[in-house]
Amino acid sequence: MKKNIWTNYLIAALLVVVFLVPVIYILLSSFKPINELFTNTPAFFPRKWTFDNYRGALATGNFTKYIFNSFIVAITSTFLAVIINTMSGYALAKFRFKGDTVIMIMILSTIMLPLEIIMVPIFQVLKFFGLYNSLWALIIPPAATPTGIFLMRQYLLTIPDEIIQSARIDGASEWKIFTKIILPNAKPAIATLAIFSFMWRWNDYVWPLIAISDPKKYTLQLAIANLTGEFGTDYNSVLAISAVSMIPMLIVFIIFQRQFVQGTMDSGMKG
Amino acid sequence: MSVKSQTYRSYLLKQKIVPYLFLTPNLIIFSIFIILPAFIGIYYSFTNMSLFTFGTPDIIGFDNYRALWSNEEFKAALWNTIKLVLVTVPLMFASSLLVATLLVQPIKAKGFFRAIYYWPVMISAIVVGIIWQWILSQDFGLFNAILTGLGFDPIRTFINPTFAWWSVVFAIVWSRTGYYMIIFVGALLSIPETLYEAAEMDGANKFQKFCFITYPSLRAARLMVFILVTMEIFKIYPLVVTLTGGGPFDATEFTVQHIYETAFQRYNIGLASAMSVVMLLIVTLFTGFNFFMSRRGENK
Amino acid sequence: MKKVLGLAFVLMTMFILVGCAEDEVKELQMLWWSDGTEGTVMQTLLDQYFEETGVTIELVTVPYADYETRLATMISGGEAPALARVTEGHLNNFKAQIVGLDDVYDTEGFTNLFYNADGDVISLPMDITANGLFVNLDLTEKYNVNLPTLTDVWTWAEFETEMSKLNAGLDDDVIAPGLFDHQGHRFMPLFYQHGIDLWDTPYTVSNLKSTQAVAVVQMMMDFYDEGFLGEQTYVTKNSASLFRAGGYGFHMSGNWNVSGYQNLEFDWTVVPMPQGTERATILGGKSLAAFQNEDGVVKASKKFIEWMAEGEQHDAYTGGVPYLTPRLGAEVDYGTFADQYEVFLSEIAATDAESVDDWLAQVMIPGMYPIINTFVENLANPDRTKTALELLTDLETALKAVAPTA
Repeated sequence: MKKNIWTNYLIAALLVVVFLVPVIYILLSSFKPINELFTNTPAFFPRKWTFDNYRGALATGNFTKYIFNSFIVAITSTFLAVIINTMSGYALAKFRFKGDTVIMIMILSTIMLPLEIIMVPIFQVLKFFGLYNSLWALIIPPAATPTGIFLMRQYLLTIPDEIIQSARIDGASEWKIFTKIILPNAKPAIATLAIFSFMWRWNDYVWPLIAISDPKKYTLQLAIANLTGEFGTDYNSVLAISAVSMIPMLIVFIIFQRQFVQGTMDSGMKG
Repeated sequence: MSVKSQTYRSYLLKQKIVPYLFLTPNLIIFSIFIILPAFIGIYYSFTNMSLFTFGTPDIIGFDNYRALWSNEEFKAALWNTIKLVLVTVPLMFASSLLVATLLVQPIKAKGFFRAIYYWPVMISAIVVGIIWQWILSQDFGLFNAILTGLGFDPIRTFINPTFAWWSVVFAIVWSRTGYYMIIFVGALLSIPETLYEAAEMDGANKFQKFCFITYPSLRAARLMVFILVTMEIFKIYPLVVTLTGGGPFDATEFTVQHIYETAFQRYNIGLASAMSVVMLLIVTLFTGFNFFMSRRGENK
Repeated sequence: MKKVLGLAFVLMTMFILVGCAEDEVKELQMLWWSDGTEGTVMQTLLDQYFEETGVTIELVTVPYADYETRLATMISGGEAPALARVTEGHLNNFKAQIVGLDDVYDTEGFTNLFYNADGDVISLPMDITANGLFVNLDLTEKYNVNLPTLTDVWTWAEFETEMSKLNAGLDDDVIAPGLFDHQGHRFMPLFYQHGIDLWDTPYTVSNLKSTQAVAVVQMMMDFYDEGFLGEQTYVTKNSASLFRAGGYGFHMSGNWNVSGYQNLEFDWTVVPMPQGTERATILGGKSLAAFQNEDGVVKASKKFIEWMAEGEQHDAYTGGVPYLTPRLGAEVDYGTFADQYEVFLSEIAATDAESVDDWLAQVMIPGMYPIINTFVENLANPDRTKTALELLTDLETALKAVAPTA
């Protein structure tokens, strides 16, 4: 029995190394001076700690602007996402109506579509609606996420029908039911959706690639992708910026870790 | 009587349209920004649209599709993607299930381990590519440094097509295992203890318990993971492009990258759209097949 | 009621402000990419322009790999930049979207002009580029490589012999004797150096399948197979940064890297490229173009081009980077790079006029660059299955498929 437990701990520790060490190594590497990076005998820890890479990266671009843009997009889109996806989840969870399966299949099928292959048409649609080169293009379209809808639907299924019915009998309007009953009762799922939405928008690359041409409106991931193209094997700035880009997600993750895990579990339980 | 039935009828009417109303914002966004562009894309596949066509393109019927039939590069990219799916899906499945199984054992600090294993999911695809490109860098990477330290020869990592290909598999599994692990954890936790206790009383060992209780009970989760991973791998792009750039010599060029380059480096939007349609048909077939096979199993 | 009035007031103010802004254009966008210091030098000029005229021109820098796509999407997105730095390829692809510059500046004083279908000049040439050979002096001196001089140019055979001496350092400080850039464009001078013009009759009869062409391609394939040329080129697709890190004896590139290599850790210079039967380089050039836009913007763009074409500003650009100048009669002081530029100038002088014309015809083929890029990448692929002749045949077929008719 004891042997079993110890092998479990051994495997668990090994996995920690596999999953955590690469990330830590990148963080450490971002503090190494150039000569310690471009050597074929790299050490794990920096022999000489330096902020040069960070200073260099910040000097080459408006990285504070990019971080700011990413924040604005992530937060605004999350607000929108919570509202519209909860509405849709509610409709799919608590109503039987004509075409509900068709709509569900349609929503599911959009997961299959990689945006990269419809970039040109999306771009033309954005242009038609005046959204080209606007941060709104990064906020509105991605807010409708099938995963989000199903997440909310799963959770809302668990709200007892009786509460809703009795509110209806009392003469409450559907919108009032939604705002006064559904939303408050869905807080855990909403928290999860909000956190996922923030993460997805923060890490978004394709939408900004399609929609933004003005460097002032770049988001962080787009800026990083541009950097790697330009510098090729000049890793110092790339490492620093990559490290920086992980920080907000790290903070969000540490605080809301339970919601992430719970949310993934819930969305996966019953198909 | 008539007033009451009027309000009742209008009440029923309202009930009928309410769900549609609640779905409207999402449906509008999907229709405008996904469905519409998809149809426009299909239209382009029948034209000679190029990146520099600033007016309306000419319709050329099935010419693009006919060209695809003999397009070696596209077929190679497509086949490369299918190979990636066939290899990565089982690996992802196995790794996430195994880690999930570990997490439901009686060990302490589960939350800590779970958080660590989940963390790579939070990193953007681009940064994941950067991380592994750096660690596996032929001349400056930790990987080769460790190998040479142990007395082996350094591996010509991204020059060697096989190594580059497997590094893509590895990076994908590394960055996504945490996500599917959680799905399995949830499913594993929902298996009633009583089933295991009964089996134990019948003298079942660990392996038998896994085969006859655990695995079958995971059917729903298994199907979900298979389908999600399959769709994800078919769509793979930013991670590969930052990790290997599609190299060396297109060894790690997959469908989405090829489509992207056909559109933006060869300027051929029409052809790229035809490729997209073909790719989507194949993905639908794959997932449909998966679904169908599992349904058949269910009826047994 | 108050709310409605308040809103109406705000909207009106906005409309007025927007309307005012559109009358006199005080802010333009210029799309740009830099290989070296071009952006910095242009920025100084833009700052100067602002001081003189009060018009701000914002330099929007985009990585070269995305440049064409970005330009295309900006134009079809209705947000064409006012101005952009362009290559001949861009001028060819975007001909219809570029504004004619007749009567904007004195075109007689410039070479490398570009015209649209109506015969209007559509570019202000900013610099001339030429392919050339960079060498790492630290390595060549250490391994006793005999470098050519302007009067004593080496042949390809001599080049290979000399540079192969670097193989002695393979376990030490040499990764490979040298590098080519990954683009097909860097390989093309080899045809001309062996007396091969690409087209006998554009675009129907080519010389690509001739025995000489096959021999040249075979030589290149051997270079890669024998490890004479570094294999990392097609992994990183950024030979300049590979060369910069040291470990390579030579880098076949062009004069745009002169300013890019200003702060290298090792001694370097430019030497004449090897010759086959003759010396040859390929000329190119970047220009400034103004894109179709609202009248106010186009007017302001033309004004800037007029200003930029004046000797003082133009020479400040070509001298500042530094670059070869398309401005006739300009005296560019290359400063510390005088020797390097002397080599480039001699390469240009030594190039046969016929070769220059042939290359110009080649550039007119839309989508030519991706085709030659794929071609050269196949030469470097250790797992290639096709022979030199087969690859050349594919190249010819691909070029003919997209070449303009008549």
